[in-house]
Amino acid sequence: MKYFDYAASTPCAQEVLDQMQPYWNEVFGNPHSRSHQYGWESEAAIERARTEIAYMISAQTDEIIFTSGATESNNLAIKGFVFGPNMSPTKRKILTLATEHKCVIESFLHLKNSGFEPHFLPVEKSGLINLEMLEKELDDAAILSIMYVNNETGVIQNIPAISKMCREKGVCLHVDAAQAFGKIAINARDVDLMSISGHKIYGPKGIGALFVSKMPRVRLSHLISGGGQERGMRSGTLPTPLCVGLAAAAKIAKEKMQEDFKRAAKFQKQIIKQVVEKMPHIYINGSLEYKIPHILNLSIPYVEGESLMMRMSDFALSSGSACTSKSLEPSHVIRAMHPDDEDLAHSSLRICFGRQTKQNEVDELIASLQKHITELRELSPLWSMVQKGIDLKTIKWQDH
Amino acid sequence: MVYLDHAATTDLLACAKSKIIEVFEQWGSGKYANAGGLYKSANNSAIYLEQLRNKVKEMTNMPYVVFTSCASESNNMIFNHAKKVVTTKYEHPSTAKNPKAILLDSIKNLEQELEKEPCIFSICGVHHETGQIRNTETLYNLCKKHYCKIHIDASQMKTLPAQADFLTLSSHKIGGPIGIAALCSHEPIKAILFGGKQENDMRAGTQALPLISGFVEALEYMQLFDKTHFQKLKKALKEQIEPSYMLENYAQDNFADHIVCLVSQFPASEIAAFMDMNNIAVAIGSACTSGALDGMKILESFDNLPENIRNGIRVSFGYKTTLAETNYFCQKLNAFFCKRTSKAL
Repeated sequence: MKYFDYAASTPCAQEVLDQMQPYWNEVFGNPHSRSHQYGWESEAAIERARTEIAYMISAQTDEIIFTSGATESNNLAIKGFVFGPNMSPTKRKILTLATEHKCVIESFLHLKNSGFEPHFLPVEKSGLINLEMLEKELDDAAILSIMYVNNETGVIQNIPAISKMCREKGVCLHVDAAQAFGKIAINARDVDLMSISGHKIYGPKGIGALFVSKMPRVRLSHLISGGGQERGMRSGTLPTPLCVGLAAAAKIAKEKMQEDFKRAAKFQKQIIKQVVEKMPHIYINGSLEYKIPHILNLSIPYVEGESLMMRMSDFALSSGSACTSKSLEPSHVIRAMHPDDEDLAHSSLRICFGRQTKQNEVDELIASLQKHITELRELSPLWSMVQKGIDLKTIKWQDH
Repeated sequence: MVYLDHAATTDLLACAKSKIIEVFEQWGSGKYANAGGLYKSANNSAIYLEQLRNKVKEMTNMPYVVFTSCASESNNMIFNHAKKVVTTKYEHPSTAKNPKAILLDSIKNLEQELEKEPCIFSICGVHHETGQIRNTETLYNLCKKHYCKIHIDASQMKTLPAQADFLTLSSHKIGGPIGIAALCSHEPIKAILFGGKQENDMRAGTQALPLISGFVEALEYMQLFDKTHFQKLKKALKEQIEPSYMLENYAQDNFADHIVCLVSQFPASEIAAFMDMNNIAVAIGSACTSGALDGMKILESFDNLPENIRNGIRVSFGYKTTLAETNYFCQKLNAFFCKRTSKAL
């Protein structure tokens, strides 16, 4: 199996496993135990981890809250804010993009039942939001939830500019940085809330974090109540080994950020040269200029994304995000970027490069893509029509 | 060091640890991947995950099992799931402190509350601070009589209850990894966390397969573990400690063998500090509330307890706690009491 799905999950790095090791059964105390050394040692390890994570995004130690993952962080940020004490009772408008992760979209949809007005803002073909349009939309809005780096296309939103607008208009800015943290330099001071994931950066599964700004102060209502851990915003015993693992992974990600970026850029360039430029009618989804090279999303019209993946079963690829790909629905992200061309969403393919990606794997991927795209297109009646110069959009399909 | 706070958390079992590391490493070598993918390694994860889930279903006899991040999350899901949840004010804060909770002063008042309207009654099977065993069978039948449902938080139980409508299982209390738990039920549960379609739409978020594998390993270990181990330790403790210090002598209830609450007129923090000097770890209340100064609130529910005794320490045994460790603790505790009572005189 050649793995090209690093945006879905990354394997936990050996160094991270090693650093977690003592916290499983040596320094194993409950970090909330106040009456003995076992508890104090665990607590100290957690606070060290918190500081390291905070340092990476220019935050303060106590602005980091540990959660079970980015999905929980996103749920907590959005629901916690709108039901929290910072929420203006007169504001009902809540904003996000049509290209967000399912957990943000679902959270927004659910808030409809509580009387909120979710708006799913469109994006341009590049995947970027139009800042002029956003500025208008921000009027009367309570919160904007936006992904720093899109999980399907790798497109980077202009967070510093968006942050400025949100600050001017008094809108809370939540940034889902699951795909950005550890891959590009990010500054939490631009935002009010920011979600972080462990298993996307070669850390352990089952851990994530939420940055909750203290300057300006953002207060959240909790999703999980109980012992009042994490400043009352998230109860539950903190998993010491996982917190330590998240910090260890973050530290390595920071050290290897440039190296990882360069490697991904090299592989991305090869795919573009050998597949996108060599073969007709293959499109890159999202702006190449504002994009991380770790994620490359292609649309290959006249080829069903799923049929291609089935033929290439040696390769771990996806047609969308892991959270939604099982449903076989076309990607809502690509659809939002190309509302007038359904086909592009149906034929999308996400290729991700990671720390373990090898040159020979990329070579094999290129060869396999070339072979199977050609073969599948030869089988497609649509493709032969296109070859004959028929514009498919002019055909009136008959319903049967 | 003598660790006697296994009810707060216990060390990871060797079998669970090797399982977790194995799955983490197999993930690294390409056997497993995010279960949401469409390729082979993702499928391996999905299949393995369902195998693990089926094991929990069999153990609990419950058709729905959702893996969560902690018992607090599982308990919170109950409050999200039902319109009305009744519990007692002495339960774990993850239930008793829920803003929606209807708090009873005593289980004696339960029937009165159940009669009003159908609801869920939530209770710890074994109380986390005192070790009191709740008569879950009687409570189950009482709930059924009034068309109500019962949620049992089994975090501190070493034997799973025979019947329940909802059941919270915690991994790190039984020797599994920390950061994983489960909520089992007879019906689909409403989600708190929205997003992908994981856990049959009942809990979004990529499943932490390595942790789940370690958790199930620990559940299996617990089921096979010879529980007379705890009996022996408690017996040794009872033989050495004066009965007036044992909380269980002030009540009619049954008490678990692995959690012992010791009460006295001396501040619990003083005893804990003395124990810490002697390299013994004990708890003052539960870890979740131990920052609080109000001591063990539940002691007020013991009618026979003398007025001046409002302080308790909790001693809890693990799978590997030895008789020698227990004896050492008793010796030190007696030394403390001896020193303090002579001073008091």
